[in-house]
Amino acid sequence: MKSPSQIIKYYAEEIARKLKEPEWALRKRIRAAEIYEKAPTPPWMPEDFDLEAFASKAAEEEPLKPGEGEIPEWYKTILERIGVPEIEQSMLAGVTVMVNENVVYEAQKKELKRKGVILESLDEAVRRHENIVKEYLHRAQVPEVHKLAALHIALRRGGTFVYVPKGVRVPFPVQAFFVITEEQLAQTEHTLIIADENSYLHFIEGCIVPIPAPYSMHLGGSEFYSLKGARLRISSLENWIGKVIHVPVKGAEVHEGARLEELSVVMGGIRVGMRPRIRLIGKGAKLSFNSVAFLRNEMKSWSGSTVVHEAPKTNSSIVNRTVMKDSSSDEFLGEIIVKKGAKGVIGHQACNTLLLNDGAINTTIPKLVSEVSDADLAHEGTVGKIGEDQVFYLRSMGFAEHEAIQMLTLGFIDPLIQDLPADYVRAIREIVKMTLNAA
Amino acid sequence: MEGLEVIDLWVEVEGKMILKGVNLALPRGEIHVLMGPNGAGKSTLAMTIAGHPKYKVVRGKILLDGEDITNDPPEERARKGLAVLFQMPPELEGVTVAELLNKIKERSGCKEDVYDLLRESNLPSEMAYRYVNKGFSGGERKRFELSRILAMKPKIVIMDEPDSGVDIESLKVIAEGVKRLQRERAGVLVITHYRNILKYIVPNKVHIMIDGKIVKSGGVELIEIVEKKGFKEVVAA
Repeated sequence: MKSPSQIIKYYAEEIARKLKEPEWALRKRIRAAEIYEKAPTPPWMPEDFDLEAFASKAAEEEPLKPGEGEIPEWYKTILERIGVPEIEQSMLAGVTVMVNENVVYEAQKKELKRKGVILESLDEAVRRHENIVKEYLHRAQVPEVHKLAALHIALRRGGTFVYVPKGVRVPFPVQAFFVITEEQLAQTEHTLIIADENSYLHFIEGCIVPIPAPYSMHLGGSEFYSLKGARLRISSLENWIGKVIHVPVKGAEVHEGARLEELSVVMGGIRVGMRPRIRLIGKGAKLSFNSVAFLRNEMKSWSGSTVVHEAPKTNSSIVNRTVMKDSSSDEFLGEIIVKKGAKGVIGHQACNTLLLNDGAINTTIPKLVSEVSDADLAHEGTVGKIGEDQVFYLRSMGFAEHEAIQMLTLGFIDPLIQDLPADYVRAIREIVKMTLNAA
Repeated sequence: MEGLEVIDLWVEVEGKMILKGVNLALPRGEIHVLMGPNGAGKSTLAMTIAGHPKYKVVRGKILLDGEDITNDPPEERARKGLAVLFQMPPELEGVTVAELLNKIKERSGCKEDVYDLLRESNLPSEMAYRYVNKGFSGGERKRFELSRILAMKPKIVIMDEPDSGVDIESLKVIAEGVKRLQRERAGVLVITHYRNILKYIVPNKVHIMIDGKIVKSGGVELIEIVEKKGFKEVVAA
């Protein structure tokens, strides 16, 4: 009988061999496989998790690309409604870059190349850019956090790599806009983004056109590095179709005088577990992390984040807005930790939950830990339903009750998504509308 | 009758009878003023006409252009041509002024664009991108109420204290709005207990409400009497 670590190692080696990975990359996998057994089990780990089945699927030759017939009809309707041609227009206007498929807009690709920006699949980057990748890969997203974090590292495959050199400002948002790319359908894909000193990048990844995933558990990962003086903006939209367990592992580092501004929108799936760990390690580092979630049916979710202030004068702002319907449940754990020596820290978090009916359950747990006396930490939490006064106000203008609820629910998340490109805002709104209208 | 008719209306709020047999006829194209002391039931009448679920009609009925709307849900009343200016309109976070006005226009067939509607209330065009009533001053709220009511193209408008908590400038704007609505053949009921707005509009009729009943109806001379002697004297007169 093989031990869990032995099982993982077997498949980790198989993946590394297939990807023709250098020795250093394999060693990261092996180390994670060894840590797996000692690492704690996250609460969102499926009770009936079958390690061998998961690992063998992750190592399969090619992830299955679903056929045209498997895209549900109602989703095509969304596509029409949000107007795919408009997305193509934005591509021509020079805002859309697709990674891993050969549709990167040529002019933009040239521009990125001229500036020295690297934009390619992570598997390729591991082979070609050891000098950069080796130092950062799995430094912010570490195996010790919990079993799934370790498993992700051991079985990592696919995903995107972006590197912006020192002082380079990318004037347009780079969108990894995956329609149906095999890379992005991988079960354990990893996104690694590094904004080097004094650079600027807005990276958007969206799964606007999702399809039922060809597996039951998605264990993706991401790492964002905003180095000294850089500003990195990350916007991600994920909508999972079908009974997918979505448990990505995420980590980030913000260095001296740097900023990280993240927006994450997650919808769909049956079980969602993710608590990114973000470290503010340089003096004056700033973090703004906004997240929006929409839960329905019997969805179970474990959300929140851990922000660690390790340097003086660091500043974090976390805003989470969750809409809950049916008998979904969510446990939000918002953790802010201030380490010794980190003087003059400001850390604020707000968690607002909108319950659309009785039966949905929200638990919000703030955890503010400070090892210094002068930290300014605050948590604000609200749980409530849509205001009757607002509904009546809208009804008195001629809107039916369900229209009023729809407008107010969209309004609830609007303050967080309004800075996204219009295509994305429209897509999010359409998905929310469909979810609200579904019985 | 073309317009609003309230016939022997008895209304209960949380187990307490507030309106005790109100009768009122507001033909289209006329401006009426409803005055009365605090607690007389003026706002209750406005909310009952609007169809607020908290206000229970125990007896009587409400007709709009002759059609009984007493049991219609609020949105149905609005679609039939009724609009209510809220005394304290709530904030709609995340819903922009432009979005709301466009949605109203879609339904009413109003052809004016959002900026013109705002200009009608002397509101700047930047207002279009703000969230409805969020951070608005008292005057801005009332002026926005006017804009969205104009977008509704109503037949009957009930204004619940359009003149409370506003500056002179807003007062004039709202008075202009009332006149425009009248020109467009809407019937307007202005509920107030101040005289201020009456400097700028000339009502066809004035009604005095005390303790859940309209105790006197008449011309503008009633306003003068109220001003000088108070509500009780008007009844006695």
